Order: sequence, then structure tokens, then C-alpha cells
Amino acid sequence: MWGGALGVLLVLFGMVFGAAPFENAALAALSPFTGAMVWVTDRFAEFFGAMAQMKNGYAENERLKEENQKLIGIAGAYEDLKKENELLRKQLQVSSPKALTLLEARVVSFDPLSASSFALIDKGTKDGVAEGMPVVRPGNALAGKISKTYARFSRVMLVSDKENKVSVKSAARDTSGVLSGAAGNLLLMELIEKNAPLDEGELMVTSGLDGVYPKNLAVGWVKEVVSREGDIFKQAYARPVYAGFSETQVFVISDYIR
Amino acid sequence: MKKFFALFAAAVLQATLFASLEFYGASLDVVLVLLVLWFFFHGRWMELIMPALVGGVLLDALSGAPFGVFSLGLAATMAFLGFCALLFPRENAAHLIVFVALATVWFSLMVFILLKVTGSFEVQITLLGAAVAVAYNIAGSVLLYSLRKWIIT
Repeated sequence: MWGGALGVLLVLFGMVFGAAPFENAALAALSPFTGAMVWVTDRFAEFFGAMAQMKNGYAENERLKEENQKLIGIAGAYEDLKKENELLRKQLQVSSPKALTLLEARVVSFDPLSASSFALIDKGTKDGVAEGMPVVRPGNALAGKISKTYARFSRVMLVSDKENKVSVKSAARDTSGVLSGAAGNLLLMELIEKNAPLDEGELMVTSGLDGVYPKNLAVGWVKEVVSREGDIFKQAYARPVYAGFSETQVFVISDYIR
Repeated sequence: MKKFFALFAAAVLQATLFASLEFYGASLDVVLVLLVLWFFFHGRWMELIMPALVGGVLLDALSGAPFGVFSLGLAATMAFLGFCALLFPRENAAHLIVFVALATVWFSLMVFILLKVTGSFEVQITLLGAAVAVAYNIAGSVLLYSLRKWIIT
């Protein structure tokens, strides 16, 4: 009885004055186990993903062949554009944009609270991580941003969290909006100009306007565009590029805090 | 000590494997279900306040929510179960489902209130989300009940 009452008082004390030492100790004890469990979950997801792919193997193979052909064409055009761009930069004496500094990290656990969407990574202030740093996964896809740091760990607010507002634009047509997490593992894009062109399947990338994330990081694909009569703006739902549980390797961009 | 290891394992599973099985904003609250089972089979709610706080602190450390949301939410749920035990006798094993359902709803409500009080982030409770959470936890209690030899006795 008294132990319980004392425990409640201690928790209340932690709520008011901060509980970083408690959390640090608990994370140090939990992280080796959660890290191993995330790895196991990852392998399970890979295994079942591979099983599902085998089931739809032929159709998937055909789709990938088609996509590969398209990408080969794009890659050819990209090389030409790259050369042309370098030439123009030389002529105009403009320097190339600075490459971002990346710090590799591993996801060791996810948020046990369903209402929010956070992940814990195995790099903290001792590794140079600071609050507000953007986090990406391989392939330049946005994962989220650092929301809290500890000595050896950091908490990442994932792009699927409702509180994480990201300025985005469509990669093909520059239609801009603000994106955040929505129910059903989707992203909700708001403040889209009513007459701006936007179609299902378009890739949304960061616009860099929020000053939090560098531009051109892939965020999601438009799934559905919702336009209601009488509204000034329209909305769109998108599928996130970052599939939380099948991606445990992430990179912290350590030189982009504005 | 056995209880502590069980809580530790439950927190690890809740933040990894079961967090990946989220459906309509709900996933299995392994720690909550474990505490309900302990209460149902031989606990007095006051004896479970300490295990609830320990499990809660572990989940608080892993969660992006402010510290104390899980620990106070779980402790308050144990007190609520003490009250429920006056209404529903624990002799009937089928009543376990009622306890798990009530505990899930009460715990969600506590988390909602604590998040509102701390002003940390906007949370919405939908009927569908609550129903899925209850269904998940009932299924989880059946699963954990089958492991009672190791975790309850």
C-alpha cells in the first residue's frame, strides 16, 4: 500500500520535474532486448513479404520489368541533364549544393502508445545528435525528425505522427501542401490550392519551405484527392514511402538544423 | 522477481512485435493484459499498483508520450479493477473478458485525460479504434491465459 503510494508520488515528481535519469536507465536496460526483437520482427516481415511476393510472383515480375524499362530511360536522360547542369554551373560560376552529412543509426523500438508515432534510435547526444535533426532512410525517403535526445538514444517523431507537419510538393508538378499523419497508416496532405493539379499516384517530396527538412526527400504517394464544394483548399491522402517496421536502418542528417 | 521479468518481456514485446501489428490505431497492450490477468486470478488491486508502476515506467521510457502517462494510467486502471471486482465476481473465468474490456476502455480514457492534462499532443478516441483495442486485448488475454503456467501461477 505505502510502496504503491510512494511509487505514484515518484512518478508525479518525474512528470513535474523531468525523469531523464529514470528514462535513461530504463532505456539502457530495455534497448538490447527491444533492438533484438525489432531485428526479429524485421526478419519476419521480410519473410512474409517474400511469401506474398512469391504468390503474386509473375504479375509482380512483369510490373517490375516495365518499371525497370522506364527507369533505364530516365537514368539516360538524367546523365545528360547532370552533365548539362554541371556545364551551366561552371559557366555561371555557381557552386554545387553541399552534400548532407549523414550519421547511421538503427531503430531499437517503436512507440507502445498507438496514438502517437515515434521510434527510438541507438544514437544520442554523445554521437552528435540534436533535437530537430531530420532522419531519413536509405533511398532519400523521409522518416521523421529527432524530437528528444538522451546520451545514447534519440526519439524520432515519425512522418506518420499527427503532430509532425511537413511542407511538401508534388515531385512532378510542384503542387504544394502541408502533410501530417492520419488514421489507417496514411498521411494527410492539407492546404492544397483548390485548382492546383494533383492526381493519384503522384510522388510527394519535401519542399524545404518549413526549414526543418531538406528539399526533395520522398515522403509518400498520393492515394486519394478530396475536394469539397465550398472549401478554399483541398486535401489528399498519401501512402507513406517510409514503411516503419520493415526499415530499421536510418540516417540522421546532422548538418541541417536551421 | 518473476513478475518483474514478465513485465519486462511484456514491455519489450509491446514496443516491438505488437507495435508492428497496429490496426486502426490500436495494438495489443501486453502489459495491461498481463496486469488484468494477475488481478483476475489472485491479485488485490493494491498489491498490483507497484507492478503497474514498474510496467508503466518501462513503457513511458519507450514511448514518445510524456513520462507518467503509462505508469499513472496503469495504476489508475488497477484501482478501477478493484471497484469492478465488487460488481463482477471473479469465480467465473468468462468474466475475464469483461474485465479485459473494461480495463481497456478505462485505460484508454486515462491515457486520453493524462495527454490532455499534459497538453502534449492531440489524441482522438474513435469508436472503431476503441472496439479494435478491446478485441485485440481480449484476444491477447486468451493467448496469455494459455501461458498461465509460466506467467500467472
